[in-house]
Amino acid sequence: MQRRNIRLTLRRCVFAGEICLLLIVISAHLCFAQDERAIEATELGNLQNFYATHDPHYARIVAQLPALQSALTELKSAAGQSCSSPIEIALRRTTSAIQSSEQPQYGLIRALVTIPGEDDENRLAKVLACVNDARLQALAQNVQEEFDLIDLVEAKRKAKAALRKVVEEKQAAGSCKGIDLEQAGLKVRSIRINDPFVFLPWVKARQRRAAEQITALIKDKPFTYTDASAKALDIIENENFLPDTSDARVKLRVEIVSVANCTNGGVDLIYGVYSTQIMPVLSARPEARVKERETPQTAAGQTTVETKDASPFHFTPLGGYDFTNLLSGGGRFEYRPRKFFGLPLKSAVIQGQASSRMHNVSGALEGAYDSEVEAPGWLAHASWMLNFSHYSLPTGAGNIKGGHLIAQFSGVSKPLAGGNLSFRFGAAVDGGNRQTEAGTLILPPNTVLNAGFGTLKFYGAVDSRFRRNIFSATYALELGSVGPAARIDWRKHIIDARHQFWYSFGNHHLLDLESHFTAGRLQIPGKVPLPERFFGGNNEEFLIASDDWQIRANPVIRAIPGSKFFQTTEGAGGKDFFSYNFTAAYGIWRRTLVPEELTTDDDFKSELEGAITTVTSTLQNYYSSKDPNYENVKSQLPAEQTALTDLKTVVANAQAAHANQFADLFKACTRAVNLGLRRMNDAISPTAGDQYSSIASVLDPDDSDLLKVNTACERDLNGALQDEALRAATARVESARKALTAQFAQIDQAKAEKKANDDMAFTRRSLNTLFKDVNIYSISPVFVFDVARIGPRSGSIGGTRYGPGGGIRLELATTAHFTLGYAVNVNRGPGEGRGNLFFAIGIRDLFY
Amino acid sequence: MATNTATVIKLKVNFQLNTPNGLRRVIFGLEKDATSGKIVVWTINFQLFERAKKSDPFGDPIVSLDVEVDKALNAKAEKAAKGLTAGQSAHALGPAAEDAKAAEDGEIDQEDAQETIQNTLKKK
Repeated sequence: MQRRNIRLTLRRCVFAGEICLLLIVISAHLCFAQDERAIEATELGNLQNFYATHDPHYARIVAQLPALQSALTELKSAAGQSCSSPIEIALRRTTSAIQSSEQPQYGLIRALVTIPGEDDENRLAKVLACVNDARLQALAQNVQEEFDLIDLVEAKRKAKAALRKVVEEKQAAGSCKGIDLEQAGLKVRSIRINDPFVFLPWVKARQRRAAEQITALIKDKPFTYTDASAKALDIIENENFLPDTSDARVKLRVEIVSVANCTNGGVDLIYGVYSTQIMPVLSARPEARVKERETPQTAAGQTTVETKDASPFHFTPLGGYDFTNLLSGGGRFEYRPRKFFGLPLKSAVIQGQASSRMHNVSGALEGAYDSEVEAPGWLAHASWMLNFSHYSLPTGAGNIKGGHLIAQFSGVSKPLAGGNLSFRFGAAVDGGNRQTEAGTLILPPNTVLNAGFGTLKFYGAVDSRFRRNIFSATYALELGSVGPAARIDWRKHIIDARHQFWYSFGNHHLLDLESHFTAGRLQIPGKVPLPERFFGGNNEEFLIASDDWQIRANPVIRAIPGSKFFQTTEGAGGKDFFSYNFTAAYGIWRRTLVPEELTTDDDFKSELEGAITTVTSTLQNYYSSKDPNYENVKSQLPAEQTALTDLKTVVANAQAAHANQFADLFKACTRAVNLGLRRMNDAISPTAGDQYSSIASVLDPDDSDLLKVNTACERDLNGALQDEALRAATARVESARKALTAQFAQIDQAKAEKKANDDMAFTRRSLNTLFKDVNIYSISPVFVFDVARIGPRSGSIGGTRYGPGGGIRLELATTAHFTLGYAVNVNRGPGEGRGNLFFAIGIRDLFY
Repeated sequence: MATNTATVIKLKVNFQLNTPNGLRRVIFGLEKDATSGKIVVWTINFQLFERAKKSDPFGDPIVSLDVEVDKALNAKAEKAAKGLTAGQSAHALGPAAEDAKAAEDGEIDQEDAQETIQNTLKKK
């Protein structure tokens, strides 16, 4: 019974010792402002020593300490003065070891024995090197043998387990923060690759391949930073989650390795891939902002990649409802091959939407040109299209119809005005027919129900994108004829302006405010087909057929269904109008495109900016290469090349004349000349690099390889040699270098830098939006308020309508985006309803 | 399995540099490794791509070099991670690209190419 109590007491002591030790370790952690991982490494060492003292061999050493003390004490009195110092130190260590316990004792015993590679203590060996004593020899040998038999591997294993326990207890359950995962001996429990665009088949295929390889590399194996970070990231990079696109974009790839759930000896690894490709200029358009919201994969350049995994076919179902159109359905089918049969085209598109009352179908061939970011000229983007469309829209009193073929062209300038504006311009010619199912429609004067027609359209716009705003204003002129092409029967003027503002409250809870103002006037010197007059309502009509430039050409009011807002004092269809549509939405539920822990990570933010800064720097170099002084620099390069070649010969001759003298100095000079010559050859005829870059580097006034020529050959070699020919040859090199450097300094770098910054302004702002504001899912309540006026008016015929309303907007990049709402027609006219239920849906591309 | 907030152990951003003729591209990747509790180690991943025509895709890199940055340049690496300057960009697309290819062709030692690549960090 008494023995059991003793054992129990001992066990409690050991347990208390462990607890004390752990508390000391934790206190040390808190008290000393060391790096957390360094502390953990120290903790591990301490714990290992602690568990080593539990080894039975250690106990045998402790048992021999009194005998050792006795032997050393005897020797101290017997030995001479010369050996007193090592004996005294060994005795002191031994006595202290007897008086102490646990790690301090372990440390003292360790100081007595021999540890390979450590000779600073080694006290018993040092005594035995000085005196020859058989008793001490035997004791020392015993102690050494027992010490060598201590199972340090087991002690380390126990230490790791204890450390894990401490770390887990002192942190939020499972958090990996501050843990050296390799040192802690955790095993990889699972791996996952996160890419927000994984719903795209080509991304999914790459993700699957990469995940399989990484799983084979590290799953169920001890965690190592080399495998988990470096090798796994190599696998991800080899899969290339950022292929080239069919349009010119600024690319950005961010890869993140994260760990989670550091529990039960395991850890989960999460790899994040965030690839984005931004169109440098086109991102300033309001249409682009809508895409950022509805289909961020398009804004991020993930749907135009040129890769075998990506399908050339695209199909997007469409749907909608309002009280007049009724339920409509349709889709957009696009064929976008990598090469379009050698034609200057990029895609063929067929689009249609129809209900029992309406239809709108079109077929188009589209082509586009994107100038490289680093390219001369002011044109950033151009597009052309041949489109045939046919439509029939219900007015509630008859349908307006049309069919026509349109050929159109448009262009976009590079950013101007300090990177704050870009211009769009274009022209279109079309011809076809306009028809009317008259019903009860009253035909206004100078208007025909059915007619063949031709039009010529010109349009221009200014766009601007800031951190949280996009402004755009378009003016368009349409000249139309129902007779000979040279005759103008009507002129239509359209002003279409849009403003979008967004602000993120908290984390990605986005407030979106959109305003859309449109005004139009029709002048009719001859005759005009009825459908060319202005018919308003929930139906939106566009002047040209383009997804990228939507010039609205009718009054839109969501409170009036279909195209039912048309009655004027003259009859059906307005001669002038304006409409203003305001939409406010606030994202109450969302999932961010980029995880929150990244968007708040300072390193992430600065490296993101860094990527754009780097592209801007490259662009600055490009603009510097367009400076007239650069051509002068280029023309002077051969002179320096000749001077270096001459110097090489002079050095060779000098070395021949001074055989076996100053070998090192000659070697250094020759090496410098060869390097300088190689750099100069690369600057004149680059083989792998860019010419401007090679020239800029070789003429760097502070750190150029040409500077080393003067140092090695004139200062060092000729300082010893005093050779006039060498001095003259080096001086020619230096003189030519100075002339070139002076000429290079004439390049207006500030101007180049400004131009580069201007060019990248939209890109920088778009990137910020994509990474900081965009959600992959969001659900937002929506408030709408519309005002629309049509004229000429008299009483309740024509005039102004107001349409407040509300609804809900769902934007699920992975699936669909839709808006459902109801707006009230506050000031309704004859034949107009009380309000309108409007619904529009766009399903994600089914083939992508 | 309970999930907690993930801890980032590595963040890598690749800087892409294109030559104006569109035929060459350099990927300059900077990686900071301080995760194993040791002294911070910076590594440059330098890749050079070439294509014959602008209409061709860039294939695999013709040169791919990893350079462990000299500790004395750690501060400069930290700064470069916030974006390359015009001088650094010029050095990467100029001498670094030239030497990387020269090393690949066996014209110079790989160590020399690595040093040239590392010197990108020294540029203003």
